[in-house]
Amino acid sequence: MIILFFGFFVNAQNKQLLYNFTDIPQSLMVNPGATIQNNAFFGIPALSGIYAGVGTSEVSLYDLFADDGVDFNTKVRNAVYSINTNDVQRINEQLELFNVGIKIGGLFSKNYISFGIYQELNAFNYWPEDLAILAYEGNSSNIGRAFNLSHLNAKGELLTVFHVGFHRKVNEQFSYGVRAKLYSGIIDISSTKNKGSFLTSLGVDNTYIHTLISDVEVRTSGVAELREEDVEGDDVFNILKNRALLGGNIGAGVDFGVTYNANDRWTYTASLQDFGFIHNKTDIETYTLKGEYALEGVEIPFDDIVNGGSVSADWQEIVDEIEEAFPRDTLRDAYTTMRPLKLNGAVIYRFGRKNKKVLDECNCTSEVNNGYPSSMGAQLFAETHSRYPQLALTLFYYRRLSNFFRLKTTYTIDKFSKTNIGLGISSHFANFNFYLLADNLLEYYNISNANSASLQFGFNYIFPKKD
Amino acid sequence: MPLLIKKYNTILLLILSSFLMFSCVKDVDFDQAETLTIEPVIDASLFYFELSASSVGNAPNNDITPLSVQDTTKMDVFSKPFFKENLQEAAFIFEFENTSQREFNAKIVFYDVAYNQLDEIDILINGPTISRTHRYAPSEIDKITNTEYLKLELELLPGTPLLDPNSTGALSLKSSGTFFMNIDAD
Repeated sequence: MIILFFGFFVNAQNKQLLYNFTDIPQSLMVNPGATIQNNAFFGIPALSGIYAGVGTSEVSLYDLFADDGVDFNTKVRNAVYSINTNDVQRINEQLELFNVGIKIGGLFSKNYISFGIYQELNAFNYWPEDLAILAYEGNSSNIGRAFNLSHLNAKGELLTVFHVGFHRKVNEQFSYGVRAKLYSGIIDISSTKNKGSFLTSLGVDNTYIHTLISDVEVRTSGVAELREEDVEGDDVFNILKNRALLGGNIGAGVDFGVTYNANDRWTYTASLQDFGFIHNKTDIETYTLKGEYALEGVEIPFDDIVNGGSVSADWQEIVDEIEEAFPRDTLRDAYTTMRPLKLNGAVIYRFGRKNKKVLDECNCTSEVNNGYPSSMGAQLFAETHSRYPQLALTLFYYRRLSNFFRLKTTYTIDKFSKTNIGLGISSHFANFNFYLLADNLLEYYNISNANSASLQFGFNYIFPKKD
Repeated sequence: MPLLIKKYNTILLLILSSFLMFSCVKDVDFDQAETLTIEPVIDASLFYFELSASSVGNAPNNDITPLSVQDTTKMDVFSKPFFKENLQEAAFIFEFENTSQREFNAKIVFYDVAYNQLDEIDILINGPTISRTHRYAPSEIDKITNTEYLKLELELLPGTPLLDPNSTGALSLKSSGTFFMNIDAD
């Protein structure tokens, strides 16, 4: 069951449950300026942060694959005609290999550093509406319709990230943080700047004229070497391992974050993640299809045959012309990709009866929640993509249930869903922290019907804060 | 109080684990993907010509016979794997327009790679516009998918007047194919 569960859960990079959930040390990964509630922590290696999410707007897996007796091809038909080029499909996965944080410069220091390595996989696709319709219907029922090649817009990346973050609490009101990142790109595939069209219209000399105007480019890095025939299991692993450890494409980036406590009830936070790039230079193969050609068919030169007798139509000549019009180049030039930039912002309001006893028991600092057991607020998330940013708005409620349990629930509206309820818990037993964050709970009874879902969990050892 | 908290925790753990246990995938059958079939219909221009009456008038004795006016062209697109594996039915549409004063006969012949004749379409052009659709059912589709060469020949039918270099009008052809594909998952 659990395995199945993982199989499906691979959501958007929006980590609405983790953001501002400062009981969990990993909240520093989404805001390096987040409030810090420990003197030091270390993540249990490979188990400290496991994140997976999928999202498909408009059509869910269940819409297609439900065992409901409806003919599959009917469902495909409904899907093809209900999704358009603004719909997206995405997969995200992250795995922390290790993550450590420690206050530096003594007990009363205001400085904290954290560092670690994680691995990340992202795939993002805009539904290629026109190409899908062309493949599905053909051009016959679409005479006069120009199929837009810019609908082809997809990218995928696999990388390792080495990071070190610095956090400084300036005073009780304000803290900030910066995280420097070194990206080690393993695989990159992107095709996001395509232009052109394919049109069949009524011709002049013949029934139809077929016009292709194409400026299409697919860039790959790290794919060709793996595709070679004699590359097998162990080799693949070695190649990937080498690239993961800075042996492939190198890039750099930075995260910023701030927390501002306006008073004991109101707090504002903001962060920017992955402001950076990867320079892809290893094992590059870039495929292009650039050119223009209009075809009316093969002209039979009967006039010339009658007059001269020796000319002949030549299909091969047309084939050659077309191939010449669209030189298929495979380029090896290095290229640079920008990382998807992520922006978070939040307003937090605290309320409830201050519980002095809880405060004392947990040795929590007063600034964490200022003794209020509950808080609520709103968060905004934005992520850059090739066409337009993906946005999400979240309302949340946080409650410190006990010293051992803290809970956050979220309601998120985004492109994927208007009914996304999430629940996260952070448990603290004997300095061990276990957290589990999952969204789209309303769809839990049938996860395949969810348009998006994400799961994140991990184990940490936390040295409690004493001051 | 601590006891209460413990109770609380137990309940929470139960709720939590029940989430994990009961999250499931209901009645989903991914094998359905194997039944995927798409049936795009492709329209493509084929060949065309325009033969002016004055050109015919240039020929000695209006000698437009199959031997003198014919053209064979390589047309191996239909035998490419995409068509060979997925073409279900096809229709060829020939539209002749004749503004000359004489009648013609046109013949379209399909050959395989060894020049064996696969099919022949004869069209009598005895009016100003002649439109002919020739269909290939699934049972005879390999006539198309084996085609490597196409021959088009023209014959001027006996009649009057004799065309001369000043004759007006022309015989033209526009042709297209409609290809009914059936592309399945395997």
